[in-house]
Order: sequence, then structure tokens, then C-alpha cells
Amino acid sequence: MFAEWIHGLRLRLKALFHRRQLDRDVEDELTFHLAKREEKYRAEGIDPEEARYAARRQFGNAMLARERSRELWAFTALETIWQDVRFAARMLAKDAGFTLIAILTLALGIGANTAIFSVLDSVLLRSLPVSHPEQLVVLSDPDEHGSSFGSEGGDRSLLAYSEFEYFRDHNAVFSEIFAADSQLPQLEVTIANSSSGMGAQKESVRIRLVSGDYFATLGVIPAAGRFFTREVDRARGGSPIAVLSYAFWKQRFGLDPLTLGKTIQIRQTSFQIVGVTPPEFFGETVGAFPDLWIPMMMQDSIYPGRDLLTAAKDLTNMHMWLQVMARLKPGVTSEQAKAGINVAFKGLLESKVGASISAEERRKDLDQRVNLQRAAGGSSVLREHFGEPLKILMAMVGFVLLIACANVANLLLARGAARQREFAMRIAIGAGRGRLIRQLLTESLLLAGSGAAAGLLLAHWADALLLRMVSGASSGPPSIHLDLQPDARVLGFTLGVTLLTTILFGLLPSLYSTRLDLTPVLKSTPAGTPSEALHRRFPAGKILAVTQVAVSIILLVSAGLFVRSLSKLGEVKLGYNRENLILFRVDAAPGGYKGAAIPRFQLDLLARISAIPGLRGATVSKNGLFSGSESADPIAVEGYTPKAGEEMHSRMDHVGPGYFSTLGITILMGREIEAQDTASSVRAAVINQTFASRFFPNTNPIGKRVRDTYPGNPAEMVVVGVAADAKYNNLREKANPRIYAPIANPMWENSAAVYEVRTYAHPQAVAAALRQVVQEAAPTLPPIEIHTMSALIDDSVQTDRFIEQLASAFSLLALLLAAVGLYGLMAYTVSRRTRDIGIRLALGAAPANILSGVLRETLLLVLLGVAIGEPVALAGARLIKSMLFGLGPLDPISIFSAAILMVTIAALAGFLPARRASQVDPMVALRYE
Amino acid sequence: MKAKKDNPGDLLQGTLDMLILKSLVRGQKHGYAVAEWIHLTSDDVLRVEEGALYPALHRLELRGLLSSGWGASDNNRRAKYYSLTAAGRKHLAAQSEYWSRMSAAIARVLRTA
Repeated sequence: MFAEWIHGLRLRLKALFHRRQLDRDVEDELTFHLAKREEKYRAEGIDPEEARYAARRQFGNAMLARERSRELWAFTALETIWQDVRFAARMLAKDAGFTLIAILTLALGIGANTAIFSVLDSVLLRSLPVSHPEQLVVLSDPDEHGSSFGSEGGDRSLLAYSEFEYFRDHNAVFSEIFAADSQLPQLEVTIANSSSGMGAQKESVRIRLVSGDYFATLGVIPAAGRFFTREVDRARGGSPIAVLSYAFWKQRFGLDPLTLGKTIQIRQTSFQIVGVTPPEFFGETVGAFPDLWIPMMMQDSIYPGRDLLTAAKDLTNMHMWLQVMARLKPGVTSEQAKAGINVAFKGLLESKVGASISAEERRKDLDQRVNLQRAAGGSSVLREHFGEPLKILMAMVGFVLLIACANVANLLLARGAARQREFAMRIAIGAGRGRLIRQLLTESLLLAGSGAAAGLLLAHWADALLLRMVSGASSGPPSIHLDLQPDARVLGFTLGVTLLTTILFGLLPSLYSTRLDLTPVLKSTPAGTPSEALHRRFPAGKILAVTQVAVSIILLVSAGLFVRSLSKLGEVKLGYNRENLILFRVDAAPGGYKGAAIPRFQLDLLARISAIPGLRGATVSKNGLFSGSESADPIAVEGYTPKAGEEMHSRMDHVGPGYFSTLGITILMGREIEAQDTASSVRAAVINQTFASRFFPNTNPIGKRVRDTYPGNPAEMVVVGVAADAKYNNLREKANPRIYAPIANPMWENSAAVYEVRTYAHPQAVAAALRQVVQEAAPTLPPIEIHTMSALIDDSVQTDRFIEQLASAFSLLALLLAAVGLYGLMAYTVSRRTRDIGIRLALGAAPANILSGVLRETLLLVLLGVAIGEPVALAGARLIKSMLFGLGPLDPISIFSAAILMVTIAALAGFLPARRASQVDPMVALRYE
Repeated sequence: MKAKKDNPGDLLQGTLDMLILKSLVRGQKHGYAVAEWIHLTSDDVLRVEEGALYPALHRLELRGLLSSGWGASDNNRRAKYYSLTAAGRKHLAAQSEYWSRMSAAIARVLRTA
């Protein structure tokens, strides 16, 4: 049986390409048959006329033979589908206005969904473009990036190089393991350009330091040249080689094969280019795309003056700055690996923990774990902040699609009503209802397909916009690199959404429109008196409109909450003046400064800066403001006995003279850090209000002693003043106890500091002068990056702004679609009732009454929609509670503004048809057929 | 796909197929010749109209029980000739055997009444 079917299929496929030949063959076969029969009749002596009559009598039979034979040879199913498609396209083209509106609506809905989904896919779902990403695990926190110094308890966020080396040499669970810098510094390098000879330009490139087994662990094959291996991990500074990214090779070198062997000068060292990564490879961190990879042993070229590789003596002064990832050995599960690695970690900790410490301290020091987890998606700079917002936006954009589908469904219902006669005719001459429905669904599929194609284009354009928003590029080019090209998953998603929307908006109208009583419809005029089915259709249109309103309310309320939340964030008091304040970081390490020379250099630079004319003030601090830097240490406070289990910790900073007055932080008691607070005097310290009220609740803190009890750098301070609380890292932070020591008398060595400069007017004027001063003071240092305080604060609420802008855009889109839907419904209703309205007007009804009647009908629908939508919105708002600031989900302003906005716009939408109704000329209406 | 397997209840369809296959045992024939052969061999009892003949021929060809080719007929017209395939012969043998059994059984039943 099956073999026969296959045989038939093959023959049919062949015939598919020779349709005309097939038809001719069938024709010829029958002609031959008829000719033979005529021959026979003539041979039997039958009269030719008689023969011809006989032939014609057989005509029907011949026709039947021809039809059935052709049917056998054709793919009937396929052909009817193709017929349906051609017919549908023709019908849609005839009604160009409707088709255009429908496609546009669908394009907006599907396009928005695809755009958000491709970002979500890229940030949350995609695996790294490496070999077998499901075997990869990460030992550090994949969302953590930066560098910390000191120690860390609990689950480790970043690892130290010595710890990586230990894991590399003491494990049985990984086949390969690598370490990578968790930061992606951008440095000025010089690329020797043999073609242009002299005058090589300085250019800015992003460089990632990685250990030797990096490429082997990830399992990538070079697009050109070779990669480095674990050989490079042997000697510090011993392998000045670099691997380029494909994009960099293309953009900077134009895919020139002679690039291999060229050199790149990073500070004093020349790095030779040895290989290029494959085109789709971007590293191990989603969103951060290096131009170059260089061996970790070359760290001094990237972070000069710092030793980030040598092991710390004990557990207190470690440089933790690495992401560590590994590939599991076959057959090893991640649970087994986690257990194994922690056993090794314990061993390492115990070997390094100090000998002469208390049991309590020892317990705390050993309380560290490696939280090993699967890392098919690699590390990410975006997941942490954008994960939740993207999911919420996905839901919102799904709602927008629902509204768009409801609009198109309503359009189709109206169109179906207009085509009643056509349907009745077709059913009368023998088309099954199923065939009609199939044909209508084909129309819907064509609409959805075109909408999807247009939507993909829209999504492509929108993605560029989204990328800008995600990278918070308010200042300069986007620093985030995401591959938003649609992959199989995104295209599959779009396809699924298209099919779903087709069913959503196409099925019901097709079922409705084809359920009809033939005779009354055929007897009716083209415009048609509404049939029974039509009356039943009214509820469908109204239900759709109410649903649209309800869903729009949900979106409007959510958007309202985000808008209010963002504005509340904007009202947060910083505790200091943000006007005309610029900041820049200067790291003394590359200049070779060490020990006591560092504060000397930093204060000398401050003096030079202060000498610039036209400044209102200048100061310096180690951690800056909103600069992503923070310090904290355990403390002991004179006269304060900690309660059982109380953590004695405080945030800390080192500040220059005039810090508080320059920034505008009120000194509540005593004095601020001044020039006289140097290393030769007792270390003065200023505490903030939270510190004072917590540790000196009933006493005068001035003159009391505070001790930093961190084993790595114990230090003593005396309180000389109390300052008001302020915001240091983000607007949402709660006040922490904070203590400020003089930068001239630091408790630990830290070569970097942030200079805060207040200008009278536009900061740009001073920028050039500042750069020059810094250049003169330290020629070996890289140029400074100047940021305004306002820009830094804006960047800190980038996620909030992202979701607020998109939520607003989507809710306004939904509002527009719902309004259009309402307008369409009311316009259609009014046009259907033109005769009745004409009669009423002729009988003396006031036009104003007609108008108010229609408006009332509109508002009734809207109020019903609002009444349904608000409670659902409130229930849903609880899901976003964690993202809101300064207000709860039951915010009355958002709730009421959404309702008022909806009613206003809806009233406008309903007004136009209402006015048209009231302006009906009774004479015309009565003659209206 | 209009190719259906023989419905046991549809004697007419299957029977016609069987007759067509039998007509081609001795060699290839074109459609008219098949109809003539059935007519003659059945002593003018069975007459096959072209409305039934050609769909049956094409169905058998699609099932792979017949193969076809175009050639010149005795009056130099273009005609399509059909011949049995190996599968066709097998099918004919099976169907003939089945038919004999069925007709013998029916005859037995009718004799008793």
C-alpha cells in the first residue's frame, strides 16, 4: 500500500512540472479513443450522421473521463490551496484600504513582539556561540563585573588569580578551565600601519585579559592564524601576543590576511597579532565585545603599577577581579562539580588562613563558597538589570498584540457582513461551508503573513533603537554590543505568533460570517438588510471593543506606575548639590607612584586644579560619587558595646580638604576634613548622621575614637565632625553608616581617586584646562574621562528609564489601537442604522439627542471596559511592585489618570461617528438602500 | 490524493481493475483496445464506458501496477499504450484468486436456497 502511494506521489510530482503536457496527454488519449470508435462505426457501415450523434451522446462520458483523470494526476489538495491563496490575494487587493489598515495594525503588533523578544532572547535565552555551551559552568558570579580588594565571605562573586591557579591544578571535574578579566577596559593603542609607514595613529580598543586555556575551554576555531595556549601562563610578561575579534579585523583591517604578524603597541609593549576569532564569537560575556584578547600574564600592560596576579599572603588582602569558567568532564554533573570544587576551595582556604587569629575570625574567614552554576549563556552585563524589565515588557507587548488582533477581527467581521451575498451565492452553487471558512482563513493567513513580514522590518529598525536605550547611550557611542540578528528561535517565535494571531482574529469572524440563511440573504439588496446572523454579530464587536479597552487600561495603569516611579526617583534628595559638578578619575598606579607618594601626588594635583581660574571649588575622594566604587570595613567604636550578633561595619571613604563644603553636604556638628589633617597628625574623621545616631545615640561623638578592625589594615581615627546623610551610589540606596578619613592620611593604599570640580557655568569650558593640568602633572597617565554629575545620575536610573519609556510607548500604542477600534465599531454601527436614524429625524427627533445617544453607547462600552480592566490592572501591578520606587501598586493617581485618559480618548473616538449620525439628512437616509 | 486502496465493499471498482489488468496479460494495449477486448471476451456482456475506463487506467498507473508509453497506433495516430508491471501481475494473481473464492462461496450460498 505504502509503496503504491509513494509511486503515485513520484509520478504526480513529475506531472506537477508538466501540467500542460499532462492536460494534452489526457486530451489526446480521449481524442484517440473517440476517433477509434468513429472508425469502428464507419467500418460497421453506420451512417456518418448517426456516428456523429453517437459520438456526441458519449460527450458527457468523455468529459467525465477527462475531469477525473486530470484530478487523479493533480495534487488536488495543493491545487485548492493555491487556488485559495490566489483568490484571497485578489479579494484583499480589491479592498485595498481595509487590507492596508489590517496589515499595518498587525505589523505593529507582531513587530513590537518580535523586537522585544529578540532582545529578550539575546539577553536571557541564547547560549554562547561556542562548542557545546551546555557543558560550561561558571565558578564566579556571572553577573558581577569589576574589581574588589580585601576579602569576601559567603558565595564568591569574583575570584583571585591564585585561586584560579589552584583550581586549575587541583581538580578532577573539569576538562578545561579559564580565567578572564571581569572588566573590559578601553585603552589607547598604536597599530603599526605598514602601508602608511610613519604616523601610526592612536586608537581606542577594548581589551580582555584571559588565561591560556580560554579558547580551548570554549572550543572555538580560529578564522585565521592561531590562538594562544596554556603555554602563555608560564611567564609573566613573556607572551606579547594578541588575538583579534573578527569584527575588529573586518572593520580595522578590512579582512587583510597580512594582518597576522602586525604589531599593536600597548603602552611600552609591542603585541604581535597571531590569530582571529570566528565571526559569530564575541567572548564569554553577553553584551561586552572585546576587540582584542591578550594573555593574562601580560597584565602589566593593561593595569600598570598593580600586581593582580601574585597571591596574597593571607585571606585579607586579595585582589578579586576574575570570572572563572570551566568545561565539565563527560559524565560529571554540575552538582558533583560544585561539591568537588568546594572541597578543593576549603583546602585552599585552610592553607592560607592566618595562624594567630581567634576561632571566631577563623570561622568567618573559612566561610566562603564557590557557587558553581551552569553557564551556557556565559556571563552577562545585562541580565541582572534587564531580565525582569524585559519579561514585563514582553507581557505588555503581548497585550498590545491582543488589542491589534481584536481590531483586525472587528474589521473582518464588518467585511464579512458586507460579503454576505457573495457567501450565500457560493454556498448555493455547492461550496461547502468548510471550504468557505478555509478560504477566509487563507485570507487571514495572508494578512498575518504580510503583517509579519512588515513587522520583521519594523522590528529590525526598532532593535537599533532598543540597543541604544539598553546601553544608556546618553553620552557617547553605545558601550553594549548585542547581536540582535534574528536567529532560529526568534524567527520561530515570529512564525508562532503569526499563526496564533491568525487564529485569534481570523477564526471567529470566518465562523460567524458563513453561518447564514441563504434565501433571505440572496433576496436582499447588495447593502443588505441585516440578517439574523448579523444581529448576533453585534455582541461580538462590542465584546471585542470592551476587551480592547480593558487591556489598554492594564497597560496604561502599568505605564502610569512606571512614569510616577521614575519621577519620584528624580525627586530624591542627594544630600548635596548636583549643579555644575564634574567628576573624573585619576589612577596614580601607571605613573609608578607607591606608598606615601600616592597621597602626595593626589593632593598636589588637587592644588594644581584648584589654581585653574573660573572654578567655584574642587576636591577629591577615593570612591567618588555614583562612580561604582565603594569601601567598607569592620569597626570598633569607643564607648559602644555591640549587641549579640550585631555586625560592626561601616562604609568608608577617603576625602580631600573642603570635600563637604565643595559638594554642599551640611556639617551638622564639628568641622570637615581640612588641609591640616595630614599624616603627621592624629587621623581625623568625619562621620555621617546615620553613623552618629547608631553608634553615638546619646553622646557627643566629637573627640571619640573609632578603630578600623580589618586585619589587613588596622587603623585609628578620631571623630572631628558629623555630616548629613547623602546618596553615593544610587538613588534607591538606604542610608548606611559612613566614615570619612583624610586622603592625606589613608588607612590603606589605593592609587585611584575621583576629583570633583564645581564650575560656575558650563563644564565644557573648564574641561580643556583640566585635561591640560592633569597631563602636565602626570604625563605618563592616560587621558582623563570627564563626566557630569547629572549624567552619572541619569545613567544610574537607565533601567528604570528604559522600562518607563517602553511601557509608555506600548500603552499609548494600545490606547491608539483601542481608540481606532472603538471608532471603527461605532462608525459601522451608525452606518448600519442610517435608515432608522433618518426615520427618527424625520419624525422630529433632535439631532443633539441622536448625538448624545451614540456617545452614550460608546461611553457605556468604555466604562464597562474600564470597570473590568482596573481590577485586573491592580492585581497585575503587584507583580511589578519590586521595580517601583516611592509608591505602591495601589497608586490612586495612576489608576485615575489611566481611566480618565481612556474615557477622554474614547469619547473623542466616538464623537465623530456620533456627529455624523446627528447630521444624517432624513431624505437621503430614507432612500438609503 | 485520490488513490484509494481497494475497498472490499466496492466490487465494481476492484472488478474493473482486475479486468483491465487481465486484458494486458498478453501484451501492451491502448485504452480503446482494452475496452474492446473486455467487450469481446465477455461476449458483448460487459461494456466499459470511457468515463470509468480512463480514470481506472490512470489510477492503476499511479499505483504502479501499470506502466505506460506513447507510440504510434495502427492508423498512425498518437496513442498511449499500457502494459503490466511485475507488481501488476502479482496484484492480478491475488485478485483473481480472491474473486474465484468469492464467487464460489456466493454460488454455494445461492444454491442452498
